[in-house]
Amino acid sequence: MTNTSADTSVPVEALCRTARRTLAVEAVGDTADLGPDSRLDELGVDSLALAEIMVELEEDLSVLLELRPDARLETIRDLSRALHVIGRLPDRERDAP
Amino acid sequence: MNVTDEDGHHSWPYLVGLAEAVRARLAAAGGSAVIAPVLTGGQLVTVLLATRDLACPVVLVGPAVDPPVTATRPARWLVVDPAEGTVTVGPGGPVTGGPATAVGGGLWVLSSGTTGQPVASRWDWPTLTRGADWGRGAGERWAIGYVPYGFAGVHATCQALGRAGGIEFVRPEQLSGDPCLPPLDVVAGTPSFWRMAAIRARRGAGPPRAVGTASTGGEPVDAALLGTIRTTFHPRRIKQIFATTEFGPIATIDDGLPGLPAASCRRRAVDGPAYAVRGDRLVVSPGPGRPYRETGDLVRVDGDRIHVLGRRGTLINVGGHKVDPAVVTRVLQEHPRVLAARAYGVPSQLLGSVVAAEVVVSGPAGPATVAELKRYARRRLTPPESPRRIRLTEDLAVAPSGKVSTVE
Repeated sequence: MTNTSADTSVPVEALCRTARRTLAVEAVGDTADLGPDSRLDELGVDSLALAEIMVELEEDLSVLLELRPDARLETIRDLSRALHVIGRLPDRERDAP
Repeated sequence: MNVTDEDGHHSWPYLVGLAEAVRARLAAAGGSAVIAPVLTGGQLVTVLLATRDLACPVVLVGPAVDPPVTATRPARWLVVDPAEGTVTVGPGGPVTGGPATAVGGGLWVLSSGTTGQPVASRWDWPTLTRGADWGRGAGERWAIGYVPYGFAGVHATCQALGRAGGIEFVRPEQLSGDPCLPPLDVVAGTPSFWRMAAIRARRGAGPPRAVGTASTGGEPVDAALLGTIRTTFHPRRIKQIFATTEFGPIATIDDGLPGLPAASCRRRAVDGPAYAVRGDRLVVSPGPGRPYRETGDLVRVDGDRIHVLGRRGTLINVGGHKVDPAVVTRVLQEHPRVLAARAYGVPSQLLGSVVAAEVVVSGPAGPATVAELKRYARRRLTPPESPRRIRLTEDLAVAPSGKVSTVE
C-alpha cells in the first residue's frame, strides 16, 4: 500500500524519530539503529506501544492520525504507509507546552 | 468583619445592608422559591445573609447552570442578583424538565457533577449555621479557595461567618508573593488548590503566607500532598475533610496521615454520620438508624487506613482494562520531582483510550524528564495504567468546581 495523497502522508523519518524516542523508554533494546526497515516485532512493538507511538506522533506533528485498518504492519515503513493524517490537533492541545 | 474576593473588599455593613435590601424585596415579592446565581464569595455571603432561615427553598447555582431548568420547579420563583441586590420574578406556572424538585425550606446546593449531571441536595439552615451569630467572630482570618457555589465553599463560608473577623476568597497564587499580607488562621481548599498554591509559592514570586490550619477536601488526599503542604506553608495543623454534597461532612481527620482510619469504621459520634467499606466502595450512614449508602467514592484499604482513590464513573477504558486516573495521578505525584499531576484518557483508534498525563515538575524540564517519568510510571503501574503521553505544563487544568479535571 502507498500513500495516495501527499497531504495525508506521514514522513517515515518523523515516524522513526518518534518511535526511537518512544521505544527507548521501554529499554528493551538499542533503538539508535531503528530505521524504516526495522521490524516491529523485533522492536517489541505491541498494541500499547503502537498506540503510544501514534499519540506521540500526533503530538509531534500537531495532527490527528488514523491507521488504515487493512494495512500490513511488519516494519516501520509499513506503519508509515498505514498512517494518514485526518485533521489537526485542537488548538488547546497544540498550545500546550 | 470584612470580606475580600475578586471584586475587592466588602465591608460588613455594606454586605449586611445589601442583604437586608434583598430580604425585604424577597418578602415583598412573595415567591415560593428563591434562585440565587452566585459567582463570587461576596455574592455568596450576601445570599446567605439575605436568605438565612427563610421558609421557602433557596437554590444556589453557579455560572454554568440554567437555574429554572436544573434546580427547581416551583410555581413562582424569585431570582436574586446578589451583586446588585435586586430581585426579579420568574414566570408563573411550573417549569418543566430538570432532575430535581426543590421543596421545603433550606439551602439547595448542586454537586459538581464530576460523574454526570449535577445533583441538588438540601441543607437545613440550623445544620449549616449551627445557630452562630454571623459577623461577630473573634478576629480569625480565613481564606477560602473553594468555589462559592459548591457545598464545600458554602460549608466553609458558614463556619467562617461564625468565627472569623475577615474572610478572603482566594485563588492559589494569593497564598504567596506579598510579604505585607496578614497571616491566615485557616485556609480551606481542594487538594488541587493546595498543589497549585504550592507550585506558585515555590516559583519564588514571594514568601508563602503563614497558615495556621490548612484544610482540604473534595478530592483524594495522598501523603505527597500532605508533605507538600507541610514543607511549603508549615501549618500547625492539616485537616482533611471527607464530605460530599449529598451527605455533608463525613469525617474530619487531623492526625497528619492520608486516608480515613480503618479502626473508625462504623463508629459514629452522637447523631453523626458513620462510614464503612463495601467492596471497593465507601458507604456512609448519615445518622443513627439510617442505612449505609454509596458515596460514589472508590477506596482501597491499606493497613489501618482507607484511601479514597477517586470517583466511580471516571475510569478510562484501555483496551478493556479499566484504569482509574486517580491511581495514575497518585503514583505520578509520589515522584520526588512532581509537584502536581493529572491523568486522563485520550482517544486511541487501537485501544479505545490510552492514559495521558499533565505534570508540573520542579527544576529544569525537557524530553529527558518525560522519559524519566514514563520509566518511573512503568515501574509502578501496570502497562494499561502507564501514561502513554506525558506533557510538562506550568499549571494544571482545573474544572470550574475547583477540582482537577479528569477529561482532556
